[in-house]
Amino acid sequence: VGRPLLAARLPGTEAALAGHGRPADGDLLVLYTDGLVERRTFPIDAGLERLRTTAGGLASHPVDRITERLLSVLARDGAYEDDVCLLVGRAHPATRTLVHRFPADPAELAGCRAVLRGWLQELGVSTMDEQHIVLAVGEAAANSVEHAYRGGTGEVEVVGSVDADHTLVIAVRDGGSWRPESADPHRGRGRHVMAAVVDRVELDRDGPGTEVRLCRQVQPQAVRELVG
Amino acid sequence: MLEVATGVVAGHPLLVLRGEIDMANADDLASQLQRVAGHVVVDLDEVGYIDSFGVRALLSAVGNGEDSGRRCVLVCREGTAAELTLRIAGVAPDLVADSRQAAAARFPPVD
Repeated sequence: VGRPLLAARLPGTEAALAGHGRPADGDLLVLYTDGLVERRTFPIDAGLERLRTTAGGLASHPVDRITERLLSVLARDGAYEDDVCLLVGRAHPATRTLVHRFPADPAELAGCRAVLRGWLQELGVSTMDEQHIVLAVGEAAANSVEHAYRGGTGEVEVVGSVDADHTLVIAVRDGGSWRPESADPHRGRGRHVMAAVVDRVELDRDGPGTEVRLCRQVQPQAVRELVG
Repeated sequence: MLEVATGVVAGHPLLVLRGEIDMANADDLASQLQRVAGHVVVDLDEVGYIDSFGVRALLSAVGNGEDSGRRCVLVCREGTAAELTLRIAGVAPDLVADSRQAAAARFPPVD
């Protein structure tokens, strides 16, 4: 999220182009009327700065959530005085891949699932596919949080991509060591759940940490336009 | 993230859970369930996500109940997040019902 690119005034649509650029995958485009950032009580620059910071911090979230957050954060210093129109879009090819990193903390798991759901919904996968994938990734991410750092701190990374045969591959990576065959029957249940809701679970311990890849083929029409 | 509403169904205590259950709140849920006296019906229809930590919490309440003669039946309709997780985690069918009334009918009637 950078500087304003365009200012237009209606009617007559005298537009002033203030800059140009080609969006990279995943870039956000935020279109808004001045009522969003301007009030009689505080300068437009402060509103613009808040818009930039807030949108930047939410860059990997689903666009409807970004819209909601922007509307509530920008109203924090005073109610809107003018009609507000806000449109948020994301450069499309990036919906093919998902990258979300979060601290290995149980409180972060719900946010991770929300980001994953947003990505799956943008891909257009069915509710059933979404439910199964979110459960598998949720279990894997919880496993990372629980065991990877053994009480220390670290990050978990979730990377999703679409393969050519309509298979979604979601990798859950951490910097810790996977506890191999835990005697804890509860963790056995977690692994069992993971394996039951996706087509394939791949475990990679060759790198510095652990990577679990969860693969599930989804209904082809959903990802037809995103592949190839 | 998880709301717990209480009620009564056919004279038995009812807990209606709404939200998501994972390792962040499973322990709290388990202790909340264990504080309920008598047979209890737990409605999971409005639960949007539950993982194996949540299943462990629910089963711990059932387990404690067995010691004291207390029972717990879980309610979830087919197609819900809870139904998927409970089925895959292998939760015994006699602990699960598809409506609150069907769940309460598993308990001895209350006078």
